[in-house]
Amino acid sequence: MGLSERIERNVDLSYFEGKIPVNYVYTYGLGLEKFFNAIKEKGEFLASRCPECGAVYFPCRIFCERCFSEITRTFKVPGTGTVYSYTVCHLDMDGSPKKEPDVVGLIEVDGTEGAKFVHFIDAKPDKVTIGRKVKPVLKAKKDREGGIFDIKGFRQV
Amino acid sequence: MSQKVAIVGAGITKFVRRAQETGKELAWQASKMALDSCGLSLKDIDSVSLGTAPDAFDGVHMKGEYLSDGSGGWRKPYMRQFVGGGTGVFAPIHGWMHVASGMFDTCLVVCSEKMSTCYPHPQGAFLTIFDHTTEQALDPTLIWIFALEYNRYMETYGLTKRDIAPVSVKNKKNAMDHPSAQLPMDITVDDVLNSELLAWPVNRLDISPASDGAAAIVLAGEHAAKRITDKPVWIDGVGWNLDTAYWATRDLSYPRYVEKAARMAYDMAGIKEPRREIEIAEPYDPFTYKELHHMEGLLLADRGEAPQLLADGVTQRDGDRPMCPSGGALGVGNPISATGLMKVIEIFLQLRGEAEKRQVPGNPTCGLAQAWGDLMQVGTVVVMRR
Amino acid sequence: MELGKFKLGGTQLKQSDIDRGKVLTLAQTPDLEYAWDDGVAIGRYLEELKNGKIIARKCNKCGRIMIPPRMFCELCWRATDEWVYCKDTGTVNTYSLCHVNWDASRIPEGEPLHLPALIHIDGASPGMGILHVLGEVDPDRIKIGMKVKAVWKKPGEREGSITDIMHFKPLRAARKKSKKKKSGGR
Repeated sequence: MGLSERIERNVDLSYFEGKIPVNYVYTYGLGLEKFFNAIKEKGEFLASRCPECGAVYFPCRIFCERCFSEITRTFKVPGTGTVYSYTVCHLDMDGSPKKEPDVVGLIEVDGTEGAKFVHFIDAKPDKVTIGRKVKPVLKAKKDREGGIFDIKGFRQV
Repeated sequence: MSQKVAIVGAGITKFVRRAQETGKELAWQASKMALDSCGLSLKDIDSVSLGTAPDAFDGVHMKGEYLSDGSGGWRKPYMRQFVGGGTGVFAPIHGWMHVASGMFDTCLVVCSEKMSTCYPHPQGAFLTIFDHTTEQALDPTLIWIFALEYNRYMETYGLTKRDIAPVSVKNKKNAMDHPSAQLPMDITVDDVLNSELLAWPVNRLDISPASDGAAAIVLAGEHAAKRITDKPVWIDGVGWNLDTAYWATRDLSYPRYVEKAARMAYDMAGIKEPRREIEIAEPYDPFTYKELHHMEGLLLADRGEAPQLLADGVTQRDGDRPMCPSGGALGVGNPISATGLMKVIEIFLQLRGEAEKRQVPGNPTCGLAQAWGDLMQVGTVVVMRR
Repeated sequence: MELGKFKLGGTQLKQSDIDRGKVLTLAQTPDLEYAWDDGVAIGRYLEELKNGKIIARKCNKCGRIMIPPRMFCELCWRATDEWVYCKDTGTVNTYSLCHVNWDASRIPEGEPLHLPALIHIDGASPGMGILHVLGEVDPDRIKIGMKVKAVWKKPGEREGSITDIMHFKPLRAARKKSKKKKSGGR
């Protein structure tokens, strides 16, 4: 099914309706706990470098996926970056049109040797260009809860 | 088959009801320990076999892909295995194929589970294992099918709950010596019988808990294994088998699919008399009666006779045929796929004489681990020798 | 290698650590609804339930009369051949007295227990059982091997569902004296 296809259920045939009655509470884990706490408390962005092979991760992690070494230290990066790619979303998850299209960017984060991060770009769709410098816009400290929306999005500079 | 396959290293996390680590962090902790235990690094690993239970537990669809970095799958031939509760022994069977075929010299086998993510209870994710049209409307719960099987097992052989409860006493006691254990306990048969009644004949202490945890092993082909360790434990037989999807029409008193899986593994390992040759076993024990049910399916006891062996102390750690010396799912915990691999690891450690306080006497040379799952219809078996 | 020589991973949390925000967590409820097609065999099965009848399907090779009905025989691996009506009576193969709901919460004191049972249906081949629930029965008097009969919803209330049979009740004996309080059902 294409994502843009109208959502209709096959109710001409006889069918049985159901749901899976669960909800989820995800722990952030050891790596992301540090990352989002640093944003929440200090407005800082943490990356980590593998002490063995030198691979850089953003957000910071507790292990290197390439050589499996433990990573205990983090370092600060400014949180700025460049637009590596972007898309403009006109449809919502259920296929209905959005009032305002969303601009979703893949941002190459400065000081991380090419690590990329997904978030919204606060710009008119026709004003976004690949390669533009962007900077993060944070919520006011009192409103930050420790999560991806402590970053409101990225703004082109 | 072009080469023999050995287990050369192992790793495990604690099994806990609720872990702070993500599933991939747990997977990495166990995998890293497995590599460290045999002095290898990730670049020595040729392929990765991952086992993990329903995506709905962790709330992560494509859990195989999600867990790949923590499992050492980065830019490697990587494959996910899944047969419900049987996964923890199925994943090493797959790893075995990777190496036995001659395709790879080493394989990292990883099983990771994070059930605590699911609220109000991971059972919610199980509701859809029942036929959506003919069974779900009855509001069945997973516990129903085990209670029904337990009851039928007792009826067929004239057993009572008192005959079966000692499995819980034994396994939870054994778990007191396992550093990963979630529910180690020193209890009596009466404690089991008097614990909260959930669905007759199943009481609270008849059931293994929901758990978070991970386990990993390193497999190596014959030549590589001998270079890596002087104590390889060989996988000499593997077997797996699936019964009909119409669970309500199955003979619930006897797990024929486990017998077929066991016979496949025994034939491969050249085992003619399992009761004499299998010195130690880790049958899957998510419920008390299942250890006994599975001992019979594994041909380690006559039908209906496993409870007598239990009563006679034969299955204790110091008995003639120790069962679940680790403490099993009942004692160590039940992070579905990681449980089966924990059992494989226990036999690996027992055969190497490295099981510390859990070590069974008599320097066993041959053992077996088994898991069970899907809609109580799959049996997975691995036979190991040192 | 001895496990005792390693520092094992796995940081245990308490539920209160999450409730009080001691660690960061994210809560999410998936919004998924399904409409599972009944298919050919089960479609007819449900249609007949609406008529107050239980229908099975026969394989002429192995001779099995199968319930729930299916369009292919999974043993002979061939198409099944004909529709066969069964009786609405059967035998309890196994049962449970269930005190908990699916989310592990307890059924409140005084409310009826859930009484799931596997029932071998008369007229189907031996061993052909379906999952259903028992009712109008004293839970302490349920026995494996007990003969039971379907208790149907009124014709106008049936909707083509397995729940058109409200429950199975004992054919004789073991029946509850008072019919006011019903065990089983949903």
